[in-house]
Amino acid sequence: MKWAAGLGVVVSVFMASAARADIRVEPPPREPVRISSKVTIKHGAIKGVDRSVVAKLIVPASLVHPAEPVPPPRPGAAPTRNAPNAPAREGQGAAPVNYRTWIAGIALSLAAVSLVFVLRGRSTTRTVAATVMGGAVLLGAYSAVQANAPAPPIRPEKPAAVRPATAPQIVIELVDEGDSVTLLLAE
Amino acid sequence: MASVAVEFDPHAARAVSSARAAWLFAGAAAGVIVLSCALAGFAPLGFSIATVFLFAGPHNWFEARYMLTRMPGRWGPLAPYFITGISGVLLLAGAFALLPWIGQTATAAAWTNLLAIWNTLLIGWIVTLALMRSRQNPRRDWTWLVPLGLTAIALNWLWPLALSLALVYLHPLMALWFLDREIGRLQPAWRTAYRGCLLLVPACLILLWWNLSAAPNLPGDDVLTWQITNHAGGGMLSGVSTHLLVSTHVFLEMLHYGVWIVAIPLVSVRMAPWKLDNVPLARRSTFWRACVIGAIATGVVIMLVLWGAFLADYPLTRSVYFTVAMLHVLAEVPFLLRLL
Repeated sequence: MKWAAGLGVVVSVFMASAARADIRVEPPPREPVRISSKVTIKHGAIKGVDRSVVAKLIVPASLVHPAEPVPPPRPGAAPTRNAPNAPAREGQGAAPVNYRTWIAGIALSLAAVSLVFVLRGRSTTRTVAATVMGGAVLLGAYSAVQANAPAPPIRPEKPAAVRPATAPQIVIELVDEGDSVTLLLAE
Repeated sequence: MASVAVEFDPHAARAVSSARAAWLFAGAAAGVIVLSCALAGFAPLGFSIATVFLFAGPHNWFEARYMLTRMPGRWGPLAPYFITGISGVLLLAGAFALLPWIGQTATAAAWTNLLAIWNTLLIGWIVTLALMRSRQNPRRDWTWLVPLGLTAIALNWLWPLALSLALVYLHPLMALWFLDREIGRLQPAWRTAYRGCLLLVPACLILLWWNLSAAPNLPGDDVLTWQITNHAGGGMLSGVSTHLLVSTHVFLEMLHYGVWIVAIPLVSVRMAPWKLDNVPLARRSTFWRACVIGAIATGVVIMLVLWGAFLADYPLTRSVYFTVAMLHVLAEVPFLLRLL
């Protein structure tokens, strides 16, 4: 019983530092998304910019929301949401909600606790407990060392290539309103 | 020497015959594995279309027929187990069929959450059934499944799509597990040869991955190509060649079909599918015998309708089939647990 309780405390303490449960889960890398849109081409003065700017591209923000990856199908069936090349719907591309991480954290904690109950009373408990505890101590020590380690040195960035002042430039502006792209060409 | 032994010793005769049958079985299995790998590698899309058209219906029918032989005539103390199993199959399959409908209106985040909930229910159902099974004879200590299941639930909530994709690839392997258990139970002399053949599966997978890791994606942007590549995880694993994914999936799927249509009837059912001598439910009463005959006949009709539907509109039928097919995926769980 003492073994089980001790194991539970050690695993809980050290796993908490290693689990990084509050870190946002990164979405999988996305394929480049190609979007077609109506375009309006205008000629006129572009205000508030350098003389080297020859064009301004105004893109509605609604067009650049990244599409969600298509969910995989099931052994049989794919619970598919979108037909190929279907436009993204409202709400797609939103940041993952944190409560999924919370539920995962709770389930993982319950798994650790239930593991203690499973191991309790078994003939191999001492060996398993020692192994798990040793692993937890090593993991905890590693986490602690990492936490106290100095920040890695910042690699000096290469100086950007000097661009000739006369090189033509384009300004890309994202706007909230609208559903078509506007290309404004300097006169 | 063998012929002399056959003449004088009936046990030796049976042993020689059994060994010969084992090697025949192993040779046929190895041939199917190698041929499936080659076809999956060279013509993944065509092979996928052909295998689903030819074998999707029959393999479900043979699987249902196998389950009839394994279903006890009277459940007795097993009633809670089978009630949990059957109700879980129906509820989970029904909820799964609703997911695409809900997906039409739900946001991406809401849909992903629904998928995670469905996966959680699936894991919970499997662990519950396993714990119930562990209390039946032969008794097992499977309490370790609780922390394992909770860990799987945690991972599912972090990456719900990954668990779904894992199921796509793990489901075909369940058939090989079924076959291993049935061979161990009914044809133990074949087991060594069968397990030797199984080594060909990872060898073929390594060969496929070695050759196709840098292959370009499969050509075609039609709905059917999209269905097939998406089924294999093409929409999720964007950095992996869809040629590799589809080849891997159709290779495993073909093995799955082969097991259910040829190997299991050969090893386990061992009689014409329409004969009911080995169906305990059919021996229970005249009413139950009529029900079993009706179920088998309905299966034949569904198989014929499925072929007709494939000919009429392959992509639509494929989509509907793979949604309904979740029933047989789930139904395997209680029967596999009973074999362990």
